[in-house]
Amino acid sequence: MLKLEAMLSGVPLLTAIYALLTVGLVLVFRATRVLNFSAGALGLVGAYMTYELQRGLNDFYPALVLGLICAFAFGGLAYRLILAPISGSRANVGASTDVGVLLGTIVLASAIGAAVPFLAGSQPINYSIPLPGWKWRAGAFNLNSLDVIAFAVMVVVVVLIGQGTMRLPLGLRMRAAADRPRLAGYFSVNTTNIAMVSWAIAAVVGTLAVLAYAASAELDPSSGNNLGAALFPALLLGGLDSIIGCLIGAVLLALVQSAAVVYLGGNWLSVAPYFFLLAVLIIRPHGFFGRGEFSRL
Amino acid sequence: MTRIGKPDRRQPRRSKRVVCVVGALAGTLAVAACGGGSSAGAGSSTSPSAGGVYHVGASMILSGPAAAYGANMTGGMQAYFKYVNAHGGVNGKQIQLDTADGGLVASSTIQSLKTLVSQDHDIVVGGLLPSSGVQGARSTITALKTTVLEGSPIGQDVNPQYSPLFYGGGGPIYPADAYIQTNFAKAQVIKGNAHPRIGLIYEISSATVAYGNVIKKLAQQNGWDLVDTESYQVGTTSFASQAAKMAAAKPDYIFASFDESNFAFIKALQAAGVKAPIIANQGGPTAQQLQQLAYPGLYVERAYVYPVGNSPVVKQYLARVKQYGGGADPTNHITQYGYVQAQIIVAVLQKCGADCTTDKFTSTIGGMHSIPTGGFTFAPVSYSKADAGGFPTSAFYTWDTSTNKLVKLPNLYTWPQS
Repeated sequence: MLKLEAMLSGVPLLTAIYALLTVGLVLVFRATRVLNFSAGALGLVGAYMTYELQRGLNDFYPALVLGLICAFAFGGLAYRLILAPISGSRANVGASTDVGVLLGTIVLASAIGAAVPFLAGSQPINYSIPLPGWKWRAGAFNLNSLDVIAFAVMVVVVVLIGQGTMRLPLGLRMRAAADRPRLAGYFSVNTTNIAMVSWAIAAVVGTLAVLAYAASAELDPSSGNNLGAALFPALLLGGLDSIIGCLIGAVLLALVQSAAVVYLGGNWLSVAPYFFLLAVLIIRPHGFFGRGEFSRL
Repeated sequence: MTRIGKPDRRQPRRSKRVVCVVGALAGTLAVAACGGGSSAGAGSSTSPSAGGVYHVGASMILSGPAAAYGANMTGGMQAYFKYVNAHGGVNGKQIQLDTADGGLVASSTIQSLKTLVSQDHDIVVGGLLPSSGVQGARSTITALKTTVLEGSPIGQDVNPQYSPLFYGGGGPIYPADAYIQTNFAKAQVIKGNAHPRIGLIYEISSATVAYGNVIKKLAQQNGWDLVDTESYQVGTTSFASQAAKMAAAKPDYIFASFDESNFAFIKALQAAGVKAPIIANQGGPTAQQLQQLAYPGLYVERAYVYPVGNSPVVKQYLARVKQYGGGADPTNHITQYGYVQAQIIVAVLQKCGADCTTDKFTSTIGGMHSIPTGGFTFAPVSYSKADAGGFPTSAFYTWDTSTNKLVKLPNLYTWPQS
């Protein structure tokens, strides 16, 4: 029983971090059909910008707002200046299944991973967010204010993005640009701008994820790549294009990882999610909520 | 999938793009792999090093989740080599550091060693050379007949010496760490508690698994109750569950062999309510992190001085890393490994002479039983066939939360005991 309680202690925060990152991935995939390997790296840039602003302003919340605005701009520009030219087709810049774009996201992640230590130093930063200091314990189960607030923020973000893509005109344009780009173009949907906005939003939610991670551990240049590499099972479990699926995938990934380290040992941390993913994909090849047409890509 | 555009025109363009992106990817990775080290240029000299240059190789982890190790180790080595070069070099010759990405596994370590020795003609190879890589590269090292200085050695390589080519070039030897920590704990921490409950934490590598096994053996010998063992991989994103499990086991004392994740793990232990004294190895917190954690009873074993304060050796080190270290973190113990490894290499080259070759370097280092570090380590680096680890002596530091100061505890601990 104590092991179960201990296992569950890590789940809320990990779920929040993974869900925030994967919802950004789903958003980009919905708008562009591109699997974005640079999600963690974009979040890392936003987190470092927020940290520097926090140091300059000596206040977290204004720094957070400005940091998220900067992350929004950086995400959009990263797409417009780097990924859009790689996708090449000016008429259909936002809807590409090109391997080149996929590799471009890997290059971008590697470049950011190399640039951050150069620009901000390689020293890990003891990062803290001014939150209420309360903790709740029941047996071996621990919950603190960071766990609860990160989870709550994640739920709000997921609901906003989920509802936004379903109900807002921008969300409808995103889906149109992704599903029928040529037809969307006939209806004056600017696919480039749609893709830019999706990347910008993904950078913002990625920033929130890395900040939550940094507050629980530390902020260091490897955070982005570590998180980025860890979350793909969540994305594939849920299905590449499902908002609710990414949330379920994040919960499952957090549960599987936590159970693996508690019951099997630390060397199962990165292996166990892939075993679980393999088992799920044998039964449901498109993940729990994915649509078959996308898994063929 | 519906597409816009003219397929007949787009197809070749897409192929070109793919090629370009693959090229860019390869280029980016190559740049990352080069890190802060000087590249091994074409036309490198053959042994003995000609043209007024000693070629020294370093196999580092320069990519992946542990890439910070390589950056810091390179920075530490360059800090001392460039300082020496700026002051006339060694025996009138400059030292050129060639780096290669050896990664964490044997295959990439072997490749890096072959590149450094066969292609760049380096007369000695240092660097981090993690135990997991070196274990599989033993026969390669023997075949290359080049001395290696392991930054993260395992006892089987150096205690006793596996071959005249193997030397410790960084931290204490991991099983020796376990003995030193246990002796310290018995003398200073576990006083009057005959059957304490012990927790064990270690990062997963060949060396630290060996450390864990020795702690388990010593716990059994001493009648200690090992109540929980937690191991973790480099790059682990959350320690909350493992910390909660450790808290539930209610250890009286915790032994730990950490890596860069030490701060995150200890933070998670604090969040889970763990208050047991922690005896950590050199990979434990930096002095600044000790202050930030303010964890009462956190003891860190160190073969090197903490780079804080105003002592001349610390001031020299900090100034050189700042000037020549290429952005390496001077507070990181791996940077210190690199710095002292460079000190060892320079000392051997001085004795080896201007015509130093690979073979001559090996015979020279084999005869150097005590290499001074100017107070950077708590004892001179010592090599013998019985123990070629180099760093048998450690001190322990803690953060005194009542005075808010870093405290070095009075006694030194040595293993093997003379």
